Amino acid sequence: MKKNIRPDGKEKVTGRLKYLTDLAFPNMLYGKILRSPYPHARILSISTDKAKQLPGVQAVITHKDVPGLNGFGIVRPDQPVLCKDIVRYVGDAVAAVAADSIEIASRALELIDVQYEPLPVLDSPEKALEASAPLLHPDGNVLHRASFQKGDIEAEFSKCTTVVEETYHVPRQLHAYMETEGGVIVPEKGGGLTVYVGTQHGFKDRFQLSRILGVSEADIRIVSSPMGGSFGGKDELNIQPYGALLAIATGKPVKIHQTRQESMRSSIKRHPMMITMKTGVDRAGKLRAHQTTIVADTGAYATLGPAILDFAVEHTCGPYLIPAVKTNGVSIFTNNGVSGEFRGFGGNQITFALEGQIDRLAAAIGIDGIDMRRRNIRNEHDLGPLGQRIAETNGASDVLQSAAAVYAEKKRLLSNQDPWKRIGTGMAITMHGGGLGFGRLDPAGGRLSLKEDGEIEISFGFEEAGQGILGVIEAITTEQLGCAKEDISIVIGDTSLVPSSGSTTASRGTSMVWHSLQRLKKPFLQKLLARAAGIMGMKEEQLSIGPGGIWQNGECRLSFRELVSEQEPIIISTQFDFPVSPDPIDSAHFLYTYSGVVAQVEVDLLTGRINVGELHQSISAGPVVNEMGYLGQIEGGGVMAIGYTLMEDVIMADGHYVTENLDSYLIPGIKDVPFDLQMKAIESLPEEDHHGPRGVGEIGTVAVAPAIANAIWDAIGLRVSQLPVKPEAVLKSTKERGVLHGSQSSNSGAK
Amino acid sequence: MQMQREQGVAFPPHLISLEQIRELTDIEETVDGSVRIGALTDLETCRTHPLVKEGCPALSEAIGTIASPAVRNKGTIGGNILYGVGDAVPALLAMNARLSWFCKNGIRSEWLLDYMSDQELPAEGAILTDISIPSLVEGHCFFRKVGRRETFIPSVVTVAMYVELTAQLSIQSIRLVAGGGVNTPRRLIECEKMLMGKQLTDELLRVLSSKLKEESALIGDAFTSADYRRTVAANLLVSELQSLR
Repeated sequence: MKKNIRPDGKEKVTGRLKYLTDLAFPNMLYGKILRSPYPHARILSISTDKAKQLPGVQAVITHKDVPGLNGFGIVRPDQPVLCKDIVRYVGDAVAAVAADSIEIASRALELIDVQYEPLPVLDSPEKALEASAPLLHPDGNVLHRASFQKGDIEAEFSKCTTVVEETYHVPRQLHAYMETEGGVIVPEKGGGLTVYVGTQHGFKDRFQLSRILGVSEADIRIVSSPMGGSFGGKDELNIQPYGALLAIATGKPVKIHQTRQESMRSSIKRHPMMITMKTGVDRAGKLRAHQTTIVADTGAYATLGPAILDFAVEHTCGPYLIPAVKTNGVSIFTNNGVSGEFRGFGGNQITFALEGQIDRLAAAIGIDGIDMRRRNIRNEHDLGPLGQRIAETNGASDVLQSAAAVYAEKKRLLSNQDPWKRIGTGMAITMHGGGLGFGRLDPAGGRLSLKEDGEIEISFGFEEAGQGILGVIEAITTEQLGCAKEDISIVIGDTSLVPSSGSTTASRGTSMVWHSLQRLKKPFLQKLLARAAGIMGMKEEQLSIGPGGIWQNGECRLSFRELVSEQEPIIISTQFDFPVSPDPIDSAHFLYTYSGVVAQVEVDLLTGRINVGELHQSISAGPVVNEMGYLGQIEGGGVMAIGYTLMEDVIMADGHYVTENLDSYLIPGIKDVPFDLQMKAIESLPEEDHHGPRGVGEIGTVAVAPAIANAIWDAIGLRVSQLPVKPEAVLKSTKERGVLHGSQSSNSGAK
Repeated sequence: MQMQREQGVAFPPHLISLEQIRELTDIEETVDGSVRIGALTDLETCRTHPLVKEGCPALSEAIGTIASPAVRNKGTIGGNILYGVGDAVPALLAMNARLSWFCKNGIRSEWLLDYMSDQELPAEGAILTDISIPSLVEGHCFFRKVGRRETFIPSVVTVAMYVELTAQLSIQSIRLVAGGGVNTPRRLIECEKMLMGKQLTDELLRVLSSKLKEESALIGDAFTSADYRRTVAANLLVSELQSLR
């Protein structure tokens, strides 16, 4: 494992690295977006006259000013850039303004007169499915259905000795990235546009923008952020269309940077879901039947809603072998905020429910949760959850074994001095697919070249948002080529300079960088060595690549610079697709990562508050590329998941945000983070595996909530079925069951 | 004020800085043994000052729960009091603090309790100059804040208590305070009366618990109910009294 400082590390910690929203250009204007005050309404009229007359206002645009397709959306472009006749949520944009200052732009928004006729608000999936509900989209209020079935569910249930049924509710979570949506869109002299806005997929943004603006993709250049955070939240377009339209309308650079409140109102969130599971075991503690319904509130527009539901359906059985499975999922349009891509992608929701079932069943039949999992865990050669062949690893058993050891140790060391506190330990495991899945365009690629100055340039279409892809690229490239980090330059995040590598999503970056290098390195090194051999008058076999250049007999004999030839540039490119299962099962994944989580909580019996004292994650995702980057992903993911479990909930009432800013929507502070945050990377892969390191961008978030829920049960005997866990519910439960009165008794007496 | 501005409350058009008045940033012990704190003393200085840390540790603790270190370096003790629902207030109420105001006719002094009861300045244009905390060597002080997160968070419930027990463990003097969120911290006078001169029996504590819930009359919001707040306030005060037995 390498403990390298990431390439952007020093600039970051010294504050020198600039956010794209800090950029400024001469004659730059400021943009603001007018969004609907109603969650559902008909637009009767829009008058921009007064706003246009305000001194300092340079442009006011509405739906009439969208030259191309007035819509966007990664899966289907059903979200209007600027609404014409109907608004479907309070983030819907109706007009936008460019002005000399933010203040003037804000004032201009107040002068835009929009007349609305409010329509009935569908603020829950239940309401949206009522027969009398108005249709939010031409095809109705069901965005997507997904299902999976295997075995005879009724027959298997009849063989069960114990069946547990529970409904789980999980909240709408905010990404809470450090930098809210924003950047500068600059009209170039030649007629093109440069878009300096953080994203996860520059080429997709370019495609969507070209469709909206009615210009060729070649006329748009996307430059993404070196930081600012995304977590899935900036994969979909956000402010780019407004900035682009305003820049074109005024011929000047336009900066838009949403306030936190504007961001809360318009950004996508994690899907709230209601998941009902009925799961049965036989006398031997073997899972036999597992029936699940998933109802997802996808909000007003599609974005990646269908894929997220598919993912949840796929991961319904997690790493367990169950003969009969029946899963039905539905994703429903409502007038709530738009739900979309978020680190974990439906896996976090379904894993909370599944692991909850496993723990309930274990308790019901009187065995411990680890034993229960051991009896049902998948093995290396078993098929994937949809019956597909997957890249074989022993990840599931490995993380279970690791977590079991950690669990036993934490239990052993438990001590509690405070009579008003209860300590509990819990665990959970999961498996998580990487890549977009079978049947989806999932191209990747990269380019390796020897530049004129002798630097080896490695280039990808991936974006750095702070997650650490630069560190991954540096580590893999230097390791695979054998050169030093000083020998290479990394180029990413600019569509005018880089090859298309697909999206920076779905834990695919690390994996695709490694796969690219596997393809690039041999032809690239061959060319370098052949040229060196020619120059030096030696045989290629005598030479090798090392730090600084070409090595022979343990010495660097020729620098990379000396290899440069203007006649014959050395450029090697590769294009390929993310590996998928040989079995053509729609949306099925092939590369999986695994985690086993152990959490220890302290429950305050006087206040109902829960403190996570320890969090340990065992991760199986192949070799570690960059130790600090890997650790950062797992620890950061763990903290994000603690927030999801204990406090984060974007509350909406009647289609309006109740939590409008970070003063009421809470994310964990440093004191909510366990003092003892630990990670164990299980790096082993089978010898025949040729897929290398897997990405770990998501896995650290997935199984934390059920581990904490399990620990709460261990502490006070409360079964959690709703996130976030409210102190109020804890207090009510302890009061009802007399836990507080029994406070002088021993810890185990609580149950 | 910054948070209120974010929530859409208009910022005053003019602000007058009093920062150069050095006399407003002193902490000293007066002849009668009480601690006098200048109203413009920043919270962090206040929290870490030996006179506060040793003489009124519950106040030091309460200040430590206010916002974040950066805010505590800038915000003042006077500002926290005039905010109305500041987290220092319950501790100061339990300690029976006095306030001094600079008015047209000179310095006026009043109990914090009286100020908190009507929340009005003693005179038009009065400026809070200092806070005095009487010597508390005889008794036991307690403060606890509960928020929706561990730190950098407005309170859901704050409680504070000052109690003196006799050698026979009956209550000789007591002040109980509850607040939190938009609830102005207030003394729970009826509960105090009920406890005076009594032994802390299980039965008394049980009765006290329900009486505390009732008298605190805390109201809820979209995130925490009134019942939760009242229950927590009662739990914290009762458990603290229980621990003194």
